[in-house]
Amino acid sequence: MQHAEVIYETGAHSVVSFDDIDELKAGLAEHHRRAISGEDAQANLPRPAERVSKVIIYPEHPAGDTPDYSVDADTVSSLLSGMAQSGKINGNQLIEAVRDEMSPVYPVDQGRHQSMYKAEGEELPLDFLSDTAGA
Amino acid sequence: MATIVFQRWTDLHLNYILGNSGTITPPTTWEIALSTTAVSAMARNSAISATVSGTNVNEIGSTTAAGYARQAVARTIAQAGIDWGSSSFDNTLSTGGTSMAADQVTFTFTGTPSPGATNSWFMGDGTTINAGQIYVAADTAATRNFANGDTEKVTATMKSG
Repeated sequence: MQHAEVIYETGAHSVVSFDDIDELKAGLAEHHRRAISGEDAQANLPRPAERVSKVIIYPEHPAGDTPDYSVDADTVSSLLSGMAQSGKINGNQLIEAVRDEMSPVYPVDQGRHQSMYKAEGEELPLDFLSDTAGA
Repeated sequence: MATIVFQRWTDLHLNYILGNSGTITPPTTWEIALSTTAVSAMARNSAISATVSGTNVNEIGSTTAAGYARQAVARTIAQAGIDWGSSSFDNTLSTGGTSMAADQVTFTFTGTPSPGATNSWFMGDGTTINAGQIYVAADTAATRNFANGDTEKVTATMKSG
């Protein structure tokens, strides 16, 4: 099953699963239509819908199926050499840096409309939203 | 709203914080998920399972996902795009403690998931539906049923004290 990272105009991010790209497009187009029509995000719930700003497609969930604790050995070596001062390192800083390396999401905000995942994805053209009135 | 802390969460504190376990460790990201099971039907040793039985926690979307997927919260504080916010401390002896909220996560639906009637959210690890560890859970404000084009928001808040 493929996944998409949907980035809304507000900066909200959402991972969406799909088997069929048309199913994904239909769902996002409907939410986008609600946003530009001033409708709610969900029936009987007074919360506004949000416009879709970017969609990135991944072959699987960009966070990975299970937690992956492996880190490239060369990366750890460079962390060690980069942190060394007078032949010593701060162990807690090293642990934090290694933890950030293991994380499938960037440990620093990449910007409101940028992907939060390190995985490589393919941006989906948003022309399917142009059929939505007023998009 | 009912909440529950599961055995894995307390094991993590004992083994990883008080002790120094290499086997019970935090995941690389926290994953927020939705469940059909109300907290009143859960137990501290509940497991996530596709089988609706006993105190199992049953995740939505296992038969028909309809867009459903777990949403990641980074293991950082006020740094990543979606992570934990700064904590607040209440010194009141009887009711106080430290609270910490994660940034809100968003679920998007392209249809009606099955199973789909959502009664709670939980914090787990990994992204495979009905698999992985479960740490904490809380009831949703009301039972939610989703349709094409819907989104749902969850703001995970932890309190220790």
